[in-house]
Amino acid sequence: MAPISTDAVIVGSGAGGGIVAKELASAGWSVVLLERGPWLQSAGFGHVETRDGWVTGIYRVPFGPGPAEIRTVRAGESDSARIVRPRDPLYGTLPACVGGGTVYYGAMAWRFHRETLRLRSHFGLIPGANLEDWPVTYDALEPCYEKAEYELGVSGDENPFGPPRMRPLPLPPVGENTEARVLFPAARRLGWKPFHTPLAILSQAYRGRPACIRCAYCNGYGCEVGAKSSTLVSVIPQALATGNCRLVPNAFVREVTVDRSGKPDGVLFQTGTPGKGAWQKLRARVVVLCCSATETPRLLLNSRSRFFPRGLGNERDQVGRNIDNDGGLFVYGLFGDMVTDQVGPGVCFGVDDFQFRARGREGQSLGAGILSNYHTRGPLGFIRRVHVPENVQPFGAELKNFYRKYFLRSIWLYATCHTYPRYENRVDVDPSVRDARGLPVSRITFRQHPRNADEEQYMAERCEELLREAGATVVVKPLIQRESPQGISTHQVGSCRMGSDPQSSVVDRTGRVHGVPNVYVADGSLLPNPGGANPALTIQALAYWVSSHILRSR
Amino acid sequence: MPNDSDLHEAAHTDAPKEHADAGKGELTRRELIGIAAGAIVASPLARLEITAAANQEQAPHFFSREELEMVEILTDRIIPTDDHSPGARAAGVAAYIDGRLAESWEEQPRKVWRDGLKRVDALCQKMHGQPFLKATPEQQVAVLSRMAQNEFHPKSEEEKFFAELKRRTVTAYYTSEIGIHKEMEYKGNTLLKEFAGYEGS
Ligand SMILES: Cc1cc2nc3c(=O)[nH]c(=O)nc-3n(C[C@H](O)[C@H](O)[C@H](O)COP(=O)(O)OP(=O)(O)OC[C@H]3O[C@@H](n4cnc5c(N)ncnc54)[C@H](O)[C@@H]3O)c2cc1C
Ligand code: SF4
Repeated sequence: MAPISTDAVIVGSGAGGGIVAKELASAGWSVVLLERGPWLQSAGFGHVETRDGWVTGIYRVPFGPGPAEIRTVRAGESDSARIVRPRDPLYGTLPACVGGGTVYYGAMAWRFHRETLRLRSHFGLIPGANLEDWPVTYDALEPCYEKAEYELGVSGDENPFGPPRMRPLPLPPVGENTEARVLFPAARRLGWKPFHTPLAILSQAYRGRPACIRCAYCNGYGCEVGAKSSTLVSVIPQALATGNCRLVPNAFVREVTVDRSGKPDGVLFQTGTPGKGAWQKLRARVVVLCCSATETPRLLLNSRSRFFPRGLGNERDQVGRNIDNDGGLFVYGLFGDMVTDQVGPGVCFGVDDFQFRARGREGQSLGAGILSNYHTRGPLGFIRRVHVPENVQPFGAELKNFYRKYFLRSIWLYATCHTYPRYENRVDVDPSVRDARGLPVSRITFRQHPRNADEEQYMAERCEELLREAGATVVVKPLIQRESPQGISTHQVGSCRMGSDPQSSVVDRTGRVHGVPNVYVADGSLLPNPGGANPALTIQALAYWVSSHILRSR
Repeated sequence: MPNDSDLHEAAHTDAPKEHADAGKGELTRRELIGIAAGAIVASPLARLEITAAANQEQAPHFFSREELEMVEILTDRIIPTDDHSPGARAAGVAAYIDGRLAESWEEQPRKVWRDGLKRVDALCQKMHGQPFLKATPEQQVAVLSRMAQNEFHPKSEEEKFFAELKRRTVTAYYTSEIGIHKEMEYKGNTLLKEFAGYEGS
């Protein structure tokens, strides 16, 4: 069979890949979208915690990656790496399925602040941190944020401290849950300016999709009605409707191939069970990598040839470096009264008073971040996270009563905050560990920058302050550890840094791999640093940005 | 970053950092096959009913009869029947754990349980002069109390096994029909069709 040939092949159909597919297909390009995971249908997403939950699913979960998709992890170059399987806390797992992370995500849809795109100028030199201003300014990206918000259907209020915007959000907020009744007044008493959080969740019917029915299983679950704007239900169907895009699920891509002159000419992929079946060649004029910040570097590094002996785009040993995630923490309070209910999505309250205004204990200026309440939790979701006080019997009737009593008498605050990327943090390929297909696996080397703890400390204190003001009788904060070696989170970004200088970045300001004419990256890997908030909307704004440059390249 | 394991788990929830079972290396062969099969046909998810009770009839798959009986007693002492709802035994928790262990991708969890139950027996022998199944309910509670005494900083093997026992018990119970609906009276499993999307509209 002659290899199929197409204008563009997009590898990975998640937050970034779905958007690129829609943009290119809408412009008339022939596009093939290859996704290693299954193509799940919204109607099949259910509410069995142990089966359908991203966080609590323990039993025959329908989404990938499967247990054979191992990785290795270590805290530093001198440590030996350990094998981990998907959904191990250190793995940094994002779902493998059509729609990728956006199928299971919480849909918090934040814009990054203007300063986030120029941290180097804002903070100056910080020892041990590899800060660099982005080659794109916030103002240049603003129309792309707007496009993402309008195409996905983002709901919420105007953020009083948010970066400037040309148009308001397209949809009013999704309704509150009862937590809002105690949190909004308490925040206002503290002098803060709370607002309804931006969510990529439809509050009204929008562009052919129905409004959220406010079920209690949102974050970590697929949305049964398609109101959560994953790329699975928003842009990918639009791409397919053009007739120009072919979506191939269960198709794993191993490498980008090059022709006799060293120019990339397509990819090699395999469908079906890992390790079985033939590798197929797909020819393409343009290759766009959207596999996430932990898989795109692997694909580049596994694309070795006589022309690229160290891997594609890796002549200067930059691929995979600077990988990072925003800081994330939970603080919860126990209350005497019923303060929460069972109505989804739950997140409705946000505060952004602190970004680039906060000061640390020694007076140093901080990036700090955003705090919000959290998604509605099922019983196990609550119990897994709650820390039973020492004065409660560790087993028996007392324990059971504690769980029952506080299930609806607790509020969880979630804070995200700025972090400081380190050059030594990296995802590369393990020299000795291979997957079932015989391919080198991702190896993650990661340790927190010491300053991350200051940012987290600041946000944990703000959360505590608010919960006390709201009347919590017990407040439980996480123990914050300096230079924690814990692994990368689902908010992973930065491993193929965008920059003007090929010495210190992997792709240029258009998303094109330095020194290669036709290979682009459009996923979390691009972001030179995390922000004080969840990354998906920024990944998607950049996917529009990169798409517009790919279209101009023709 | 949080240090404490529970809170560490919670730290990135939107992230799966908190995932416990898969994290302990426990993925089942069936899961692998399921995913690979799902990989070939992109069909809507089959609506499998996977609740603790569903496993009950065929047990035990991994435990011996005595071990299963011990696990029934231990789990029911952790989450007992009270005025409000039935406990772990009625919810089929032991059979659920048995099923999960039988299918585990790794050998390690099975070893942890087999060794752990032997230790419980040995501890009971030491404390009360008889095996766990022969001990009185009060004596059994005393054994569990001893195992639970350093819950947050377990040192001995028995103390470490308690954490595993409790984690599995709670996971199984609060994902069972009884745990979710009777005990917690949670309604989230039903879609709230009556809600309009937006309060103002
Ligand atoms: C439970 C959960 C909650 C979250 N909540 C939020 C939130 O509220 N707000 C927010 O902003 N972010 C949230 N996130 C994070 C968000 O989902 C990610 O930031 C985002 O999806 C990353 O986008 P991406 O395009 O880089 O990668 P992904 O969305 O992960 O897409 C990558 C795709 O590539 C595929 N792929 C990888 N390798 C290959 C290969 N070799 N061949 C073929 N296909 C391949 C993968 O299967 C996947 O589908 C959450 C994540 C999770 C898991
Ligand atoms: S809360 Fe709304 S958006 Fe979330 S899964 Fe339920 S219906 Fe979908």
